[in-house]
Amino acid sequence: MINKNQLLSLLFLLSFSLAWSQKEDDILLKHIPSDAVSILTVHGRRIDLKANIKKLNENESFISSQEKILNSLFGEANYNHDDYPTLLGNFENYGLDFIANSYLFMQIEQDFYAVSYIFNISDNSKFKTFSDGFFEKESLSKLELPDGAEGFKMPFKDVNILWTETYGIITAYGPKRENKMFSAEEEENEEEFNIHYVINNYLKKLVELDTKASIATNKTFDENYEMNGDLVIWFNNSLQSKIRNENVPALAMFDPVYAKLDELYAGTTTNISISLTNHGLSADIATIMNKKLLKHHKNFQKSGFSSDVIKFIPKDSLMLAVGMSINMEAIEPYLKEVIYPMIQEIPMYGERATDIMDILGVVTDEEALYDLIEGDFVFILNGKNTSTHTITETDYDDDYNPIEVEKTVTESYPKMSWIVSTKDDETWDKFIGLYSMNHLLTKKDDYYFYQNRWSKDGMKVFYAAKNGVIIVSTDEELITKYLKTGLPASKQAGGNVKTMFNSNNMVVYAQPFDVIDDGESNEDYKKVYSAIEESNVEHFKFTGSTIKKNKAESHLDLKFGDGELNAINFIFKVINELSAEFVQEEVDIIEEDIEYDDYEYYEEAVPAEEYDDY
Amino acid sequence: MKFKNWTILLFSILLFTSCFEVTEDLTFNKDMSGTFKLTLNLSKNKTQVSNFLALDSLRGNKIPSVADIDRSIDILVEDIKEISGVSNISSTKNFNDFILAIKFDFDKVSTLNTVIQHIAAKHAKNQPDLAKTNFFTYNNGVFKRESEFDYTSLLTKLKNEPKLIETSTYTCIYRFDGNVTSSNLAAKISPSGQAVMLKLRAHNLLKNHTLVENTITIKP
Repeated sequence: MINKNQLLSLLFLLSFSLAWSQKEDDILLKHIPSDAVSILTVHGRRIDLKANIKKLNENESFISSQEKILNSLFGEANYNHDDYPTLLGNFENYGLDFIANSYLFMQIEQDFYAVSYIFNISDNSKFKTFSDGFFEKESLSKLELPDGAEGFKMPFKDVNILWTETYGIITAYGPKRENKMFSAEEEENEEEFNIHYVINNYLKKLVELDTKASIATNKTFDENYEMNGDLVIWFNNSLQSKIRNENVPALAMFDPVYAKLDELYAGTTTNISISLTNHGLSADIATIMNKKLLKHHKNFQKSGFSSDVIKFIPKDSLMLAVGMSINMEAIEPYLKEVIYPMIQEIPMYGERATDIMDILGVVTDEEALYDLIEGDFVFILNGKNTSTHTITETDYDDDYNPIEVEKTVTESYPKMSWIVSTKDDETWDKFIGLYSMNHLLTKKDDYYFYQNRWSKDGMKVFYAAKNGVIIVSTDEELITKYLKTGLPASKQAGGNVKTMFNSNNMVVYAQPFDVIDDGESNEDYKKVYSAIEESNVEHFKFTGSTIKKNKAESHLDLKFGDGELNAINFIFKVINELSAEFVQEEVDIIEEDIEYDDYEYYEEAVPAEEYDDY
Repeated sequence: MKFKNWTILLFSILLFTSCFEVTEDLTFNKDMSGTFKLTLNLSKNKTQVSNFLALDSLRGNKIPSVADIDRSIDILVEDIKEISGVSNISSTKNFNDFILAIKFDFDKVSTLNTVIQHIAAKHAKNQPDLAKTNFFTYNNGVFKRESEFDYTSLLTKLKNEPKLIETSTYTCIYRFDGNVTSSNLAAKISPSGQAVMLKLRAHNLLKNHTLVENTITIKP
């Protein structure tokens, strides 16, 4: 069955295909079936113009990943790594061609799913010499393929490789419904239901694929597939039900919902064009919508966030600002036409949803509801608060009599705020005030706050509803000084950030400052801070979604700070780190089994030497 | 408060605590009488514990209030008072630092065992072996600490809290009116030679409750 490592390996190979070649693009598209769920394209030539491909072998992350990736994909015993230590850096010599477009595509069929990487072969004779030396062919199972194609299954790996004179395909696969694949009833006809047999047939069809059945002639692909990116990811959104995990029987109750989703997203596709820049990467995301979706999205769309909300976004130490602005009045038809019909298809939940809406209708009318929640939602993270308090630890004298020792410790917690626009802050103020009646919240001036009664120096959470906004925050200054007026212009986020919120209805802005780690954080946080620091990200921006004609458009921008890290290195680094993480994850699972499954694995008591301090 | 409730209380508190210390402290006099003290110190995580106690319930379990805990300790103290041979019972209820303790004097080792068996019979009916076990014996210069507590269910509950059980400790301290000549290899003998300390990681103890067992020989 395909595992994360193999998937990553295929991604790695794909990202690797930034290299030299002279071939024309898109011939390979004819071997991708028209019902592929997603396709990832690398435009090698475009990338080569931006990055120095020849220096690939000097990239430490690349080199360190190479062996691990190939082992994961092919299995150590099935190929001769030692004879090809720089295989991926010298692919031209082996007849491989990655300069023309190459593709990673995913297909989900009734009984299996497969992720395939299809690439060009530039010199068949060189490739043949290479493949004869590279693979331990005697130990591989030969695939049954049409004349002109040759291929093998990797023993102990759900990975196959095949090639013709002009292209090659590496496929990692797994059964979609494991139980069905190997059920007792079907054992009699084992071959027909054997996953490897099924995949062999699938690969045979890929080689023989009729152009008319390929993605190249798929109208939805043709309409939205953009060539103007270095990396392009294309999704067919109308195949939601295919994606459902059928190994979880409980999810079957959601089948009607998936069917509705297929209907809702019929004919829609999403295209993400990623371009590498000098200091990072940017991406244009476009979703082609059908008439029904288009109507709703147009109704939802607002031109930007209210100034009542924006004036609470701080300039100093702003690390994360996430916002969504929607027209609440468009909610009702969307709920009635789209969401209700879906929920009502689910046993039990459908009736409950109807009940809830009926009760809501008794309590409030639609207009009052729109006043209570106007539609702007923003979350802000801008540094941290610290609190200092004493704890009592136990020390021991020479006779091990306990001595209580007081220590001062500092704890930190994030400075963060949730801001929601409202037309009726008076009602919200009364509502929050209810909680002060049982002393859960304390009222002061125009706001309320929660503070643990046994920990007066601990975290405070403030609640307020004033001047068109509801605020929940741990930022004391924001509430005590600026609740009435909002932040003064000099303290408000300006320029770029303000523009993003002024003119978009979805915003994610992240600027990972290093101010959050003062060395006192716990180990888990330190790992996160360290990863952020090492990634050298200067900012991350996402804005969307603007409706233009029948497309919803969004934009993403990732910029790195000065230093050696660029987008190419970043991609390799991420793949490398993730591979290591997944390898570790597998090891952890094995250890867990030993430790907990049978309780037979006992450790010795802690050696006395470890307690010299006592 | 029934033992089940105690378990829920302890389990709930521990869930929110990245580190706790339990100390079992036993001092013997020359006549084999002595003093026993059991302490739970959650001070290192008092902010989290106090936030946790502010909740009404968590994951379907009712969260006890400080008053509930206070009352439960009083009930335990009253229960211990019923045992003859026990004197000077006191409790520590420090809800600022979250240090809880019960301390009492006993006239002989069998009284100490009776206290534990009595509490177990009354509040730990799902662990019947506890009410029959003599946890402590001290005869002819040999002190023994036995263990019968089955932590399997607690370990299962804490399986997803590896950090908690890795950082927490269980410490046994025994003081004698004589020089200790040998003890559990993992334990440490004090410079004065009259006390023994065995400090265990909760992680190890939960997996193997016999780690707390100890045989100590004392030369008068």
